[in-house]
Amino acid sequence: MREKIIAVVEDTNPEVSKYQGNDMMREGVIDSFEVIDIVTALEDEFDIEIDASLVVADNFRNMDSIVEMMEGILGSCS
Amino acid sequence: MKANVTYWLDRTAELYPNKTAFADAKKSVTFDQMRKQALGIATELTRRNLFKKPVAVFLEKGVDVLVSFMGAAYSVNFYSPIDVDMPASRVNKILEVLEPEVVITTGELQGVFAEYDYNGEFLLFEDVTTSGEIDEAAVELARRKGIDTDLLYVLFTSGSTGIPKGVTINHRAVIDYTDWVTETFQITEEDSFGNQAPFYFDNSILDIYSTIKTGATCYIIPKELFSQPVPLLEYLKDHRINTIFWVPSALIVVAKLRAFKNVDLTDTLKRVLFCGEVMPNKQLNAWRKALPDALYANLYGPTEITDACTYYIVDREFADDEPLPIGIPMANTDILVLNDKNELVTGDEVGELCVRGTSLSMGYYKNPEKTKEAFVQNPLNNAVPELIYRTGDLVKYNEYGEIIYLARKDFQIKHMGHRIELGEIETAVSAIEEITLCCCLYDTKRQKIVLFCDADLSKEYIHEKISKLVPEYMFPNRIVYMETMPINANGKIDRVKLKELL
Repeated sequence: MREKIIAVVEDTNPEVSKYQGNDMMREGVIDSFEVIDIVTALEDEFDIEIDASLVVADNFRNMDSIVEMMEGILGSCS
Repeated sequence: MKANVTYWLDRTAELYPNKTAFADAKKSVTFDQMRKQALGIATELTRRNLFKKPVAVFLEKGVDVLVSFMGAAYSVNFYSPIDVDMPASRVNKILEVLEPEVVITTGELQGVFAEYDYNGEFLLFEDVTTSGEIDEAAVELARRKGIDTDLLYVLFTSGSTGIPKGVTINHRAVIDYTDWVTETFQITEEDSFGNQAPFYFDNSILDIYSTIKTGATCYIIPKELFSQPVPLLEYLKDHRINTIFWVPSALIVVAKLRAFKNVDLTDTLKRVLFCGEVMPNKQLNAWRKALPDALYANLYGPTEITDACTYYIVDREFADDEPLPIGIPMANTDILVLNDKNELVTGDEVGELCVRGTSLSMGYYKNPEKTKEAFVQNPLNNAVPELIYRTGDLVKYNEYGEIIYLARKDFQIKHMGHRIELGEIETAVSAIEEITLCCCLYDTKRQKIVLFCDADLSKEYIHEKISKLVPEYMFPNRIVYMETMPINANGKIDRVKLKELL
């Protein structure tokens, strides 16, 4: 699962996997449209709807935090 | 009659001294504090014998920037903001044109600025605003020497040659525009704005001057909230912001992530205004459905005519694939739509939108050649000198007499013998469900229409979807899927970057 999430994000935005820090959104590594692109790609791939309340800086700190958010969503679905 | 925008601040500071004027994430100022701090800056500028001189403002986006703007205005100097995140090469190009007499900054940022090509004077914000020294008489003497055609600000826009053009705007143009805004939307001291626009982008003029004129309150929304739709809407609710004037892309993010169902803004948001690029009806319809009682208005205009010159208050239903009109001219503004022969268009003929009125820029700063190209004698007036501004935007009238934006003049192409507006293809394509952002370019060498879009769709699928909207000769020949659309500093699709991919 983890690999698949990483692959989707990486495929949508290679910058995310390169990023080494801990506050990707606030540091401006990804802008608002790039966030939408990542969310939409994950929604399509996993056939889920990511609630807007999850789209916050804490869940988009880096690749790990995106994976963690996704695992939370997918875990509660199954 | 007012010859300087700061007379508004005098009045509001007297009427509502303790009311919050502007607030950012770190601090806020009341109207009285704002006036006193601005007078502190003006006192220092006047003491240094600066009058009608360029003043650069190099500060983090926030309350202090606006205080500095007012300090420049009180002393009849003109301001030009330089963003702290701007690449050094662009800052240097701006400094080369502007040659500021002084840079208002902080002790902390002064070191950063010292790296640029600048050897002039500094004025440290904290020194002037905390020392409390105000010589109102000296400032008043300077202010009374100024007239309403003296410059208020210079904002730099990108020029095709790579040298930024400094658009100069005088006091009168901002007074004229702000009067229109506050009368049309009935802005009073009870209203509050949620500012999105950077201060180097002239959409911010509406937020700043409506607040100063009426005594409203303006909250400068932290930039990072625009990627976080729910905290963004909560911010609006918590601060009771009832009026927003944002670029469409900021509104699109909220609509795309379905944030309305998390935060109910029904009794909060009263006015939703936008300007800066085309607002797709698909996303606007999502807003209208979520907040049916709010007023929606589409404003249109380039920096050269002081933020906006036409407006359309949304008053009827639109299908997702219909274009939203840019509407009708604002009060005291005349719009001429001229065809290739410099005649007014008739019927639904396409022409270039040209503007006549007080709102016109005084020209590009120290750039007479570019000024002469864009600000020209009104071809319909052979009696007296009268300038119009040629926007380079192609428009036509619809059956309601409203203006419809079509494309940039330089985006008009000739393909297989047909005259085509690339913008028309973009409008058709943007109605496709899966697509959020798209951009059409013409590959002149291979004679192909190339569509860049952010959804991975087949050519056949796109052709089928747009077949009802545009003729076959306008179908894109090549589709390039972009995982991420390049966006420029002003939040618009970066056509220059896309062109490099052809």
